Formats: sequence, structure tokens, C-alpha cells
Amino acid sequence: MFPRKREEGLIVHELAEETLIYDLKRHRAYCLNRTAALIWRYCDGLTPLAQMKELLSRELGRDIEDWVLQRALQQLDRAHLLQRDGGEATNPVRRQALKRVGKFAVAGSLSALLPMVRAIVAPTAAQATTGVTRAQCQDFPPGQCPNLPCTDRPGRRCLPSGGRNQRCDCRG
Amino acid sequence: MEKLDRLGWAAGISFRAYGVRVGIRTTTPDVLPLIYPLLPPGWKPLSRPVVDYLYSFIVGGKGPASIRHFHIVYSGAVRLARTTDLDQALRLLELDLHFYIAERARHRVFVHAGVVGWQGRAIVIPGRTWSGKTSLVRSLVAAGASYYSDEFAVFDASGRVHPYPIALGIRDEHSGLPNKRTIAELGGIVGTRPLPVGLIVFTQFHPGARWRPRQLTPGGTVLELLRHTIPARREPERVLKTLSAVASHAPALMGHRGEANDLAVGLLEWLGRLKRHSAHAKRRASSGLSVGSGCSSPLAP
Repeated sequence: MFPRKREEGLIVHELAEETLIYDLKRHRAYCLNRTAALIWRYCDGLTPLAQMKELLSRELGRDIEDWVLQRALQQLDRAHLLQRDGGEATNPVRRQALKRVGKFAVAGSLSALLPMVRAIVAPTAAQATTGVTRAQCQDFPPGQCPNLPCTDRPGRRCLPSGGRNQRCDCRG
Repeated sequence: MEKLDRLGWAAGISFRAYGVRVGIRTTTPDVLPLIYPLLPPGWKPLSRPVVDYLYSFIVGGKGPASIRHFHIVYSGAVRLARTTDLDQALRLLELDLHFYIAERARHRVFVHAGVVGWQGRAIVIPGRTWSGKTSLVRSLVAAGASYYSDEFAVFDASGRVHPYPIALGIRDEHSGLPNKRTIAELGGIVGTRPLPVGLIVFTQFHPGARWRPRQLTPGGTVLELLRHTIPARREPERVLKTLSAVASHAPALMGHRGEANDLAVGLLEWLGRLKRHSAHAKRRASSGLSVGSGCSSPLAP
């Protein structure tokens, strides 16, 4: 079985050297650097890992080791960007190889070629705009709670907590 | 909503802003002059009162035997405010109204950010409340930049930013709540035309911090902008395209900062150097001379 990229429920947007992906189901956005983007593109369900490695080496202009490929596949799998069959990733990521990946110290120009998949959770409208954390809410003077969304307490707003002193807190 | 509809509504306004039609109905026309200044920049009255969304303002005040009645504001069918303080009711109406427009605007993407203009380019400062972006905007305006907004960067599909010049919310030292001040009161000038973005600055105030930013890649810039983008979940495809257009043409810096005044002048100088560097590179390219790998850039301020 060869790794296959997930396509359903994704919006893909190419930049010059990076690829942006938005997961409509999980509301997460990803940025793949060039190495990760190339590997993801090679994951068509038909290309063996050995061939992927060869293609990648040619594209990047240097020999690429197995663990670089494995690391990318691990990151892509964790980001739910690869298809899964019956709950198991279709990519043959071996546990021992993955453990070794973590122990490598990378230096010099190779670090620029390391695959990187960066992710954020897309904010709701309330989380993106004027809002306060709970700690900031509790700093407001009693009786002057701003009724703003609490960015770290979804669905709650900074309101008087009740009682005589009217201290502010994030409430539903 | 049906119960609200049955109340006696004496006055109202219907308008369009950024492609969204909104109505505000009130129980007395006396409050309308207080509502007009709260409307989004560039609003236009509708010829027919057919709207996408409706606010309802029940005006309270003193009744017989000095009984005070509450001011009550509804956003659709949801109660926003129930207060005897008219200023608070108006402020909550204003906040919700701008938020609604920002989320549903057509042909524009709203990012929570401060924006100033300098030498034909915009500096965009994304950030949530309490990040210190208003202080930085104010310092940049005091240093000569033109004011575009301290609340929203309004991007079009080509990545230009449009003015959204509502009054600055300058935080009161004692209460911590924002007081509104216009740019004219602060001695600044307001930008009027859309600008290409020259620089994006992600920063947060930390007392004593030194400005030592790192530069983001375009993809990293899009992710960081997305954190502050109002319609991110509602229209992700259009948002990604717009933010990519922004990030593809403007460098982005990220780091903690100290006092806003110390950073403001440095940012304007750096943007000026960047503009001269780009113009120089273009002239060399057109003259057939090598411009190098394209990876060099002026050092961050």
C-alpha cells in the first residue's frame, strides 16, 4: 500500500514556495514548506516510497535520506492530510524509523530542506476580533465588565459574576 | 422576534455597508442622531427598507414618578444590552454592528488590525485587544503616518487595504476601558485611498522588551493573519486567496516590543529603505544587470 493524500474537504492554495491547506471539517489551516508540499503531492496511492525519495532528491538537488521522507509522512498523517483505511494510515510509517527521526540533530543547509507542516486552528469570528482572555477579564474593575467574548472560554463573555462586588468573569 | 415586531417602532434607518444591508429601528427618533456617528465608514442609506439584518433599540430614560426605564438593545432576536446607561447601550450596539459587518462583508476580508499609511504603502499591525496595537498606531500617526484604522484592516481581493477610520479606542489608565478620540483631536491625518501593503508587524507590548523580530515566510504570514481574520471559518477559500495576495507582496515581522514611540520611527525608516531597495532592484533588472539571488533584504529595524 502506498500513501495517498486526502483531497476531500480540503481547500488547497499554492504560494511560490509553500502550500496552504484548509481543512473544512476540522477548521484547521496548514502551511507546508516546499519539501513537505512535494512529498504530499507525490502521495497519489501509486508511487512507492523509493520512487518518492528519488523524485524528491532530483527536485531538491541533493540526496535525501529515508528519515526525511518518513518524518514528512508522519507530520502529514498527524495533520490528517493523508487518507486512512479503517483507521490505520495507509503510509507504511514504521515505529522504529519514527523513533530514530526524533533523535537526529540537523545542521547546516539540510535544515532548510527539512519538511515542515505548520498548523493553526482557524478562529471563530468572536475569537478573531475584540476579545479578552479570562485573566484580562478578571482585571477589569468591578462593575465595568466590558461584555466582550472570552477568547480562551468559547461561548462565554466577560460579564459581572453576580454578587455584591460585581467582579468580572467569563460567563456563559 | 415576533414579540419585538409587535412593539411600537417610531423611527429607524436602513443602510448598506460593505455589501451588507442592515436596519436599526428605535422607539423614538431622538436617539437617531446618536446612532449615525456609530455606523461603519462609507455607509450609504437604502432607498427601500429591505435589510439582511435588523437591530432594535428600545429607548428607556426617566418615566413618571422618576422611575428609570432600561435601554434595551437587540441584535436580531438576541438581547445585547439592558442598561440604564445610554452610552453603554450605544457602545454595545456599535461593537456588535461593526462585528456583524466585518463577518459578512462581501468582496472584502476584515482582519482585526491597526493600519497606517506611509509613502504610498500600508503598515498593518494585526492583534487582539490588549496587544498594544492602538498605542503603536497612535505613535506611528504622531511620527507622520496617515491613519487608516485601529480596528480592522479591510483587504480587497488584490491584497490592497482600504481605510476604516473609526475613532481610536484609547484605553483609560484608571478604568481600563477605551475612550474614543478622533484622529483630528490627536493632530493626525486620515488616509483616504486604498494602499498596497508594505509591511506587516505582529507584535505585543512587553515592558522593557527590545525589538528583535524574525521575518516570516509568506505561508507563515498567512497563518498568522488568519488568527485575526473575522470571516476565516465562514469563507475560508476567499480568505485564503486574499491573505495570500497580501502576504505575497509584503514582508512580515514578528517579535515583542517595548514602548511604541521607540519602535514607530524605526518602522517608518525601514519601510522607506525597503521601498528604495525595491525600486533600485527594479531599475537594475530593467537595465539587464543581475539582481542576485533575490534572497537578500534590508535588515529588520
